[in-house]
Amino acid sequence: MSLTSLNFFVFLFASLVVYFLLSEKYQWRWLLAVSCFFYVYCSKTLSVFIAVTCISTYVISLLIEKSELRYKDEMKRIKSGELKLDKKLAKKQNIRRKRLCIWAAALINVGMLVVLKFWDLIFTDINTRFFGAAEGFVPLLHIGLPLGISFYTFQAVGYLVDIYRKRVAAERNFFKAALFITFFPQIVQGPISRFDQLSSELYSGHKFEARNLSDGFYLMLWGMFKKMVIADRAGIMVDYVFYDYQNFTGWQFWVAAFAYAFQMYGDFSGGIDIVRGAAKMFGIEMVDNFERPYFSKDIPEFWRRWHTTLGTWFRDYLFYPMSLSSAAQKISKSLRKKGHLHLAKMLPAHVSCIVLWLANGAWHGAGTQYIVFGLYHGILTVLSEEYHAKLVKLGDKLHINQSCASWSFFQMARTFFLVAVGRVIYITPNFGASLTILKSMFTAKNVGIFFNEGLYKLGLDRPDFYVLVFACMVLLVVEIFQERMRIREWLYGQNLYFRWGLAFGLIFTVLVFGVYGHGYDAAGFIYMQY
Amino acid sequence: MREEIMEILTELRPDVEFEKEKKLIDDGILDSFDIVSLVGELNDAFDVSINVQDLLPENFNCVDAMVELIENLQEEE
Repeated sequence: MSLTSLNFFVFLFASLVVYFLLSEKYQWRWLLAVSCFFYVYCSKTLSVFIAVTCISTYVISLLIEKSELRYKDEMKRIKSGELKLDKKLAKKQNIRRKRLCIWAAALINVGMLVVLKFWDLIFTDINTRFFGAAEGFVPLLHIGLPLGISFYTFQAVGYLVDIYRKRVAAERNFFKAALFITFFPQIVQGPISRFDQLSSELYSGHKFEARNLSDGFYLMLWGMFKKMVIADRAGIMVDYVFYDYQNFTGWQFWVAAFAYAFQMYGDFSGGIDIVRGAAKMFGIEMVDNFERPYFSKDIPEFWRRWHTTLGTWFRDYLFYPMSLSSAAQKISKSLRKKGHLHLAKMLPAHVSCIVLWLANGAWHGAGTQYIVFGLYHGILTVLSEEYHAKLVKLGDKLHINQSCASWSFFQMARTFFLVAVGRVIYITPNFGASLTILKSMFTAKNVGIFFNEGLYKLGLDRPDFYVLVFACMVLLVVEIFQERMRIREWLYGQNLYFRWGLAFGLIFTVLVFGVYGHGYDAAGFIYMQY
Repeated sequence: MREEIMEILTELRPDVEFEKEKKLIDDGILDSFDIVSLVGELNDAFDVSINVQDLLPENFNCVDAMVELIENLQEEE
């Protein structure tokens, strides 16, 4: 059930009606019921994997809490003299028990994710290379990927680590814990919510409010505009050019690479808008996952504004533990003693950043191109962090006004360019093809495509190309306003006629200019199978 | 202790007025790279071990919060 399908809207409407008919005490139970229905409807037998995640997360969360309670009890008894045990040893044992729980959770849940995501990909390649056929020496699983497996796995692991760090208490009701993992709008492609942010929203009841309904409606409409008018239209050009890349060259690739940047953004952020809009209709606030990333002035800022919940997840659960680990701190200390002060300060963060980006690359898929993509962004982030202050100083020396609009525009264009190039690295099925494309892009000569109708031979005819460019400009203008004001608040200050006109205009635009595939269904979301 | 923390902070980010800022983390003034460097320096200077659990915005939003965090850690150890 795609988030843009008629089935989804019927399902959402029915869920909303019953939700608001029920007393607030029973509303979360209904949310769990519809979330389970949604998941089983979409994933059929693959639902068993999310069930394993729910059960293991629940059991392990209680074990972590039990260990903490035991430690507190031990400390009490040590203080009263009832127990003869070293305080430090009790603390150590507690940490060891809790760590064991986290490792068990990671092994079960991340293990399932890794096996389901990579087993067939890796062994198809190995079988083909060394045994001559895909179905060769190592048997393939042919299971497929359960809906939103990465997102709910990350969310569940984050929840357990937060309990480990005593930031949240374990949820004692299994069904409430299960709702946190399976909540139906977010299960498709995130955002990756934190327990302290989402749980109270889910478990407390909500009264029907027309404002929530209309807020959610506008948000969903805007998401559908981004997804169906921009992303799916840009996707036609992207597929056309990059799948048959041998037939294209130079500037044609640049145009398709920029279209791909808008496709990715429209698809992912549009999907998140639909998710947040659907949740908002229930009165549930979800964190935004995108903060207008294409207005970023450098690569680290871009990744702070793109898929923010994944970024903060990687930061809190991988980057900090790695860069502040005792091994990293020891290396840093020894470098400091030897007088390498700058290296001591930067090395743990830089190495962790590169490792994290390699993990991020691997999350996007199995293959050299994904590793190179991760390395590319890791290196750019490290370089940016290392040389940012120096470049600002250099700019001052060269008397460059670094606070004027044209300089900001230059910085944003530079970031957009670097991001667009980075995406080309993994857009093709193999890295060799990506290198061919990149070489062609950087030796582009066919500038004539901008003057001889060449732009309309990239999968989109002239009217469709114009619709894409115009829709991207609308997106850009709206986002410029979003940088300065809260558009929804502004909207509610306008006349009802204007608001309805805008809503009908958006509906009309999505219906007429949206790209529809088989059965008038939009294309699947790119991140749905991540 | 306060002066020493100020010295570390100023060396880390000379562009920030640390006496004035009260939302160093909430406003994104210090990023994750700054935090890692800062924690390393603080651990070394005050012989404490700030771990991941301590990386809460309320512990790093201003200089006084950092002083309090370090004092608490020194007491614990």
